[in-house]
Amino acid sequence: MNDCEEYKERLADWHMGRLEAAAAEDMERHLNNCADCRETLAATAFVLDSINNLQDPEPSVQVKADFRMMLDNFKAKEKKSVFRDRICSRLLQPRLPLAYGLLILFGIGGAYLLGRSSKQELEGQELHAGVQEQKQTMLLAMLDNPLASERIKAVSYTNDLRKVTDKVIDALFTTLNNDPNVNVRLSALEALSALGNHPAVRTGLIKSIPTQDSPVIQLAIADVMLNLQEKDSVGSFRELLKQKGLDDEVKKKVKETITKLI
Amino acid sequence: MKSYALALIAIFTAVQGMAQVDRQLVVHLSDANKPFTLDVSVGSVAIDVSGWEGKDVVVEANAEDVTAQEKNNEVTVKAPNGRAIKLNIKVPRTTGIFKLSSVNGGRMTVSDVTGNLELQNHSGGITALNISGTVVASTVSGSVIVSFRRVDQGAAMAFSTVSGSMYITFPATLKANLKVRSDNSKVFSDFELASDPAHPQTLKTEKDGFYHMPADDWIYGLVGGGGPEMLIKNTTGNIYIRKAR
Repeated sequence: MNDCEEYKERLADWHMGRLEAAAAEDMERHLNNCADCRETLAATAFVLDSINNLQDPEPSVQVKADFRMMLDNFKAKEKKSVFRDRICSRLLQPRLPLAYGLLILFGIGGAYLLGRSSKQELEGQELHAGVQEQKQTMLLAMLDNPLASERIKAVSYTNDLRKVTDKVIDALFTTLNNDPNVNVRLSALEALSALGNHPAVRTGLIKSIPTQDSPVIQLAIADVMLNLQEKDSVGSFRELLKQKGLDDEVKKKVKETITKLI
Repeated sequence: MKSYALALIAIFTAVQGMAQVDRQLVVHLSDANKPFTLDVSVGSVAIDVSGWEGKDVVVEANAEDVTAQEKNNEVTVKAPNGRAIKLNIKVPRTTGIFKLSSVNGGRMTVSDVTGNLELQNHSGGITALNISGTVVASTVSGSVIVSFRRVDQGAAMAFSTVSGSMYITFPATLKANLKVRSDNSKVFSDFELASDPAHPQTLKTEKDGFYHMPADDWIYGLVGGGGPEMLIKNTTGNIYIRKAR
């Protein structure tokens, strides 16, 4: 059972193609033999895909039809693989677990989507909004976890998003400006710095500078602004220099940063 | 290496130095079989927490006006602000959540415990030795020394300081996405690091088997094929990420 726990921890990474080849094969072998992990995979995959596909075109009748076709293709592939597996050597085995994994992933994810829309007669747009709502709720919930470790994990998940919505950016700023743990704020800052091409992120970071009270964050935000070459942050840094009891190391760094930016 | 040994000697001296005990509080947990929480947030306090064989939480302090309250397995220790207090707390070795925070009381030390540790200090280092679980530790002046007996698979962790070396020792079986940066000093690791596909970088190896990585930017490396994020950051002081032997 302990093994399963380890596999489950890495399902998301496997699903997103972040495992090394050997580890991925090992995972696929395990999935082929473990119904419990396959179920967890389906749930994990659904949530991750919902997040990643938020900005994609709204689902339509055509999408549903395509989905059914995809499902049928996978079923056919799976049959073929089983047949081949019987007559061929073990060399072909890696194809089978992958087919299973994908089949389950699309099967359960699709059943959920189709079942949901037919039962509740949701139009495509509403479904899209529903998924967005779900994603938002999940991210906010994770960022509200009482354990700092979980909140850091939530922040690190936002790095995996293909498209980052304003809601996610807002949540990251709420964390950067209010989280009681310095390291959670630091990880939120680093996640936001990777989104430096969003004008809203730059503005938010500049506004955040004078409000930060931890030297760890004050130093890191100076590096972020240097990295982004954000000249508009100079005013905020000047304001930070007025902060009472500002750490000497921070003073030095902020003065250097201002000189380099102007 | 020398500074590591010196730092350890300094910690042991500090712990032994606390001979005077003015107050001892024995706190019974509501349910000794369930995880407990230890919450200590005092401005000027040197905290030393260690695991012991007993089922109670025992608080020893060098001041009379220290209090400890228990409610549903959550133990909150309070002490008046404004003067330096030393707290020596013994906790059961069962799983616990440790939320310790201080500003300027000196070094914060935790040893031989299991669970989730959140350690925040300001003027003073942090030491967490022989830990099973998860650590999130941050200070401003002082080194950060952490060694794990076991890590929670899948748990993200973070360690940060401004001025101070960092010595983080993980089990050899660690699986993690390391994200490390020292603004002014060097980063060493004897773990085998693979480059992170999301942040391709060339990682250089030193002659003694340690990786010697370029400073002044984030270093990304996968350990054991990758895993949860481990963020390690300081401004000045070498960072050593070691494999437990």
